[in-house]
Formats: sequence, structure tokens, C-alpha cells
Amino acid sequence: MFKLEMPASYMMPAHFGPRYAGEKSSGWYHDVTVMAIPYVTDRDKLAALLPPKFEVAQEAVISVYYVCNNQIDWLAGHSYNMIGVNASVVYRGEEETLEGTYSIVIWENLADPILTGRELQGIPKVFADIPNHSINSDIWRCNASHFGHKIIDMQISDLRAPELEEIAAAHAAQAGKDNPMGWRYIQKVGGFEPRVDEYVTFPSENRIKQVHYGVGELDWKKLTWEQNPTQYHIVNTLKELPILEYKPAVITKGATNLFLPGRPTRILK
Amino acid sequence: MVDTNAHVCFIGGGTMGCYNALLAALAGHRVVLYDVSEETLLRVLPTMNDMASHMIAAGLQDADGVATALERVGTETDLAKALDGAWLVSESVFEDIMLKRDLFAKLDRMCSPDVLLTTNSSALLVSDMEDALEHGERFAALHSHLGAMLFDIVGGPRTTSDTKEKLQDYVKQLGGVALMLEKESKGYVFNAMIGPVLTAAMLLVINGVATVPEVDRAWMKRTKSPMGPFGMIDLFGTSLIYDSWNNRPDEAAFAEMKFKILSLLAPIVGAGRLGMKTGWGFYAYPEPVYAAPDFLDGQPDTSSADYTLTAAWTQNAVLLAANEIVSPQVVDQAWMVATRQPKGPFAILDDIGLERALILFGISGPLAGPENVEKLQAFLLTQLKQGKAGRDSGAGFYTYPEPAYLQAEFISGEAI
Repeated sequence: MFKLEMPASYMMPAHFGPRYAGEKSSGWYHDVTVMAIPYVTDRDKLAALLPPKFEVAQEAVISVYYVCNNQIDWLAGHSYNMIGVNASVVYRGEEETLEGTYSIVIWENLADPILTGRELQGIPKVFADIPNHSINSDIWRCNASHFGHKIIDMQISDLRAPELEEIAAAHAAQAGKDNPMGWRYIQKVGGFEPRVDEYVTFPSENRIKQVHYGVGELDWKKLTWEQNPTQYHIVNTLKELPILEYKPAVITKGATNLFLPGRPTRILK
Repeated sequence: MVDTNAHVCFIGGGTMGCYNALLAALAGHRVVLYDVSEETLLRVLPTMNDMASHMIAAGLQDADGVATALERVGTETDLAKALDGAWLVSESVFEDIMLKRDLFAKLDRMCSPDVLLTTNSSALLVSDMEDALEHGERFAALHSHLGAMLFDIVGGPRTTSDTKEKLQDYVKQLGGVALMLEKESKGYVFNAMIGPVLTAAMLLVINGVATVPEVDRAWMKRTKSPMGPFGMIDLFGTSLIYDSWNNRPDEAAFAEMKFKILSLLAPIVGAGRLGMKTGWGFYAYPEPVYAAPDFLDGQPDTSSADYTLTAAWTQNAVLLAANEIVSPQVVDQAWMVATRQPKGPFAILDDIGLERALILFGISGPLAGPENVEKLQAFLLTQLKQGKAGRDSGAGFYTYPEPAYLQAEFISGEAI
């Protein structure tokens, strides 16, 4: 009879034994390119998306970001891309209050990080085709689609080097707010009630090597059930969040570490 | 002869003004440091103390000598008082051509014609400013290097040999090496080489060819130096390099490069990672990884980064000689004095061999400017035609097996 042996990390199919965890599988993503386009949206409409205990931050800012991940240690050097949506929030739990970002949704183009992210960390990941970004005439573009139908087009143009004051201000604004959060929700088998219902935080370390600022532009698509039966409601809801004001878009190149011994993924209190 | 009762006046209380004034005071000169800002002048003595503590730690000065020297330092916000009794004036104000022209016109009017006027500018030429003075014969560049006893002396069209000789004597009194340039040249000698090396290093990282440690390993392996280009940027201060690029005009030829380099440096400088002085720049101090004994373990003799850095360095060195700014031997002397490395770029070219160097220049591209490619090739080909193909042939820029750069007096501090 197969028996689970702890401590080890098991995922389905669990009876084959635990996942490999060793010196080759660090949390480092060594080559990471990010296009982030933040904007101010309608406070009430954003609040309507947040589960209990989460409030919209002082400024109702949403950031849509594309990430091109390469040289990923835990994937033996393989790559994947993602497009995610974060909201600036405050979490007010029974024992702690955290300022940070709430992950509304993340599309990824590879099953492995989707499964581990959802099951082990509670990050709301779904699948989409996300080709590598293109750069043409100094305009950076990327997109996501599923079942052959576009979800979003993103672009950043008018690139410039950041001013030192902008970098310093970004650091100051981020101080104490480096808390990415999410909602781990899994429905009970054979019923509609939740089997898992908990809020989580999944810190990471980002080492930025280059930064460009620019002008961002987002184009969410309107989709029907026939076009994208599992995600059309997500995409249409995001399209309904108005873009009241774009903030400076940012392109960064650097490295990311998802496993921080001092700040592990944990359930919020 | 210099009037020993007279003092040296330093205009501008920033880093270089403080450094130059400290060197003069350590050599026994009375100095007066002038700045329009009282706040800046209040920082002069702490800055000098900080600089002197590094010198003491390095065994270059003793504490008593520093204390005595600092007693010779005065500060002044009144320019007339600062200039009264000065025999030499050294300017280190912001690199703004109009500011400097106005200043030198004023100094020219306020000082008697026998007072020497000098600029420490590294970006502007004497000829950019000298027509603002009536007495251009006493005006020259006296350019120092932070942390190195190397001084460039360059005259303008009217500068007399007497002026240059007095400045040469002054540098000798400081215990430094006076580098007499035959012609004006932007970046003088050392900066004209180190600048392209640092730029090439940053572009290697920006373009994803190599990482910061890989770049530094390549350079350290090639030059036997204790740090690589990014260690040097940390030493000079990341903000200094950032400012030098940020203040560059947006010329079309450099716009893309400026954008890329500022995008690399801004997140570092903006986060307060100013280099060694703040404990963090590209590396963390006081124990940067490049100082670890195993840092170079496994590093191959050559790499893409090595080719690029060596080509950027040696191409710009050859350009200095090809343009007859200074001779190859003087280029090497300047490099060795400034960096304390055992060889200069022409000795390295001899090691590589000039035929291979031509190939290296070809594959690495025009790192001294596309307009200079033919000039560089012609310079090396002339050497080759004379049978001076490098170390393996017994002669190159030096004669082997006992090249001049191995002799102690090569960098003895005498004027070169």
C-alpha cells in the first residue's frame, strides 16, 4: 500500500510520490521581463470584486502585467508567460492588517505553474495562450487568447529611462506593502459549498536590473460564452472596470525568487 | 618660483574640490576653499576627514600628518578674500560651460596675471573656455583623478610653457605623476579609456551577453586587477556614473545608449545603492563577492565579455596614440598609475599580438567610434610593418624579454 511520508510536497497523482525538491529546484526565475500597466479605476466597481475582509486601498489602482519568465530553476530551465491583474488593497483580518495587492486573476500558458500555483498557494490561475512579447519601433506588445479568441492586447510605447525621484517614490510607496495576496477557494466534491476557503499571501523577491517607463494601453475584449466558455465572465467583468487614468507604465528586466525561507506562503490571519 | 607664502585657492567645495585641496594641504600648501554655499563649506572638513581616513587605512598617510594638513585648510564664501594672496587657482565647479566661462572671466579680472588659473574639468576643453580670459597664457587644465596620483596637464592655444612647467612642479610637490598632453583631448588619457570600458561593461549586461559577475570576472582575469568594471563603478559611486550620463546632451548618436544605461543605473541609484560608500551598489560591501578567493575559479582565459572589454579598452588607447595625444608608453604609465594594475593597454596588445589584435578589433566592432576604424588599423599595421608584432616576436610596443613597464621607475612618479 502506498503511504504518504511527511514532510514532503505531494500533488495529484500523489501515489507516485512527492515532487522533487532539491538543490536544482530553487525558486529562482533568472530571466524575467515584466510589462506592467497600472491605472485608476472606479472604486465601487473594484470593491464589488473583492471578497470579505479586503478593502480597496486609498487609491483604486489596478495593475495589469505581463511576465515573460525564463531560466526557471524548478522547471529545469524551461519558460512560461503570464498576464495577471492585481488590485491595490488593504486586508483587515481578525489578527492582522496588511496593505498590498490582491490577485484578481492570472493567465498562464503552462499547466505546471497553474496547478502548483492554484493547489499549493491559492493563486487564481487559469490557462491562456500567451506568446512572447514583441518589440517593434520601440513599442512593446503582448496579448492573451483562449480557444482562438483574444482576451486582451497590451502595449507600452514612448519608453524613457526613469527619473531617480520616480524610483525613490516607487520604493517609498512600496514600503510595507510588499504583500501579494489571494483567495484559495476550492469547492467541495459533490456539493456547492467550499471545501477550502482561505486567504493567503505568497511573497516573492524581485531583483530588478533594468527599468523603462512608458505609456501603457490596454484593450480588454468582449467575449461570449461560445467564444470562451470558461473565462468569458472574467474577461467581460475586467472590461467593465473603467480606466479613469493611466499611471506610468513600467517595463523591467530582472530576476525573481518565489521561495523565501523567511517569508513563506502562508494563510492570512 | 612659487611664492611659499602664497596659498592655493580651490573654487567649488564638492568632492573634487575637497580632494584636490586635501592633496595640496598634505603636501604642505596653505589652501583656501571657496564656495558660494556656506552649507557646502560646512561639509568640507568632514569630507576631507573621510577621504583622509581612507588614505590612513591604506597606509598612504599617517594620522598626525593629516591633522597638521587640515590645519592648513581655510574656507571662504567671499571670492575676493579667497583669491587674495593665491598663486594658483583650481576650479572644480559644475560641468556647465557658461558657468565656467563666466567664472574664469571673473577670475581673470580679479587675479594679477602671474596667478595661474586651472580647470579640473574632465568634460570641457581649455579651448572651450580660454577666450573668456584676457590672460590666456596663465590658463590650463590641471585634471586630477579621485584616488589616484595622476594629473593631466593640458594647455590651450595661448598657454605658455612656463605655466605648464609650474604646474608640473606643483604636481611633483604633491607626489603625483604629471601627464603632459601634447594636444587637447576629451577625457584626457585615463578617462578616455576607462569611460568606454565601463560603457561596454554596462551594455554587455543590458544586452544580456553576460551578468555583472561574469563581466567583472572577465576583466579581472585579463588585467589581473582586484575588481572589475562594476566594482569600479561602485568605487567611483553609482550616482557619479548616472550623473555623467544623465547630463549628456541628447545627441542622436548616443540617445539609445543613454536610455539603456540610465535604465540600468536608475533603479540602483534611486534605491540609494550608491556604491562602496553606502555599502551597496552592484555588490554588497564590506565583503563583495569579487573579493572572495574563489571568485575567478573556473573563469576561462577568454570570453565574449573579455573580447568586448579588452577591445573597448585597447581601441581607445590606440586612438590616443594614433591622434598623437600621448605616446603608447605614456598611455600605459597613466593607466598603471591610476589603477595600480601591472600592465597598461599597449602591454596587453603586445601579449595578444598585433595580428590577433586586428582580428579582435574587427569582430568586436568600432568601440572607439566607427569614424576611427581605419586610423586604428593603420596604427597597428605600421607597427607590424616594422616587425613589431608583439611579445612573441620579441618586440612590439615594448622590447622583450625585459619590457620597460617592468622597471620600477616606469611609474615612479616622475613627470612623463
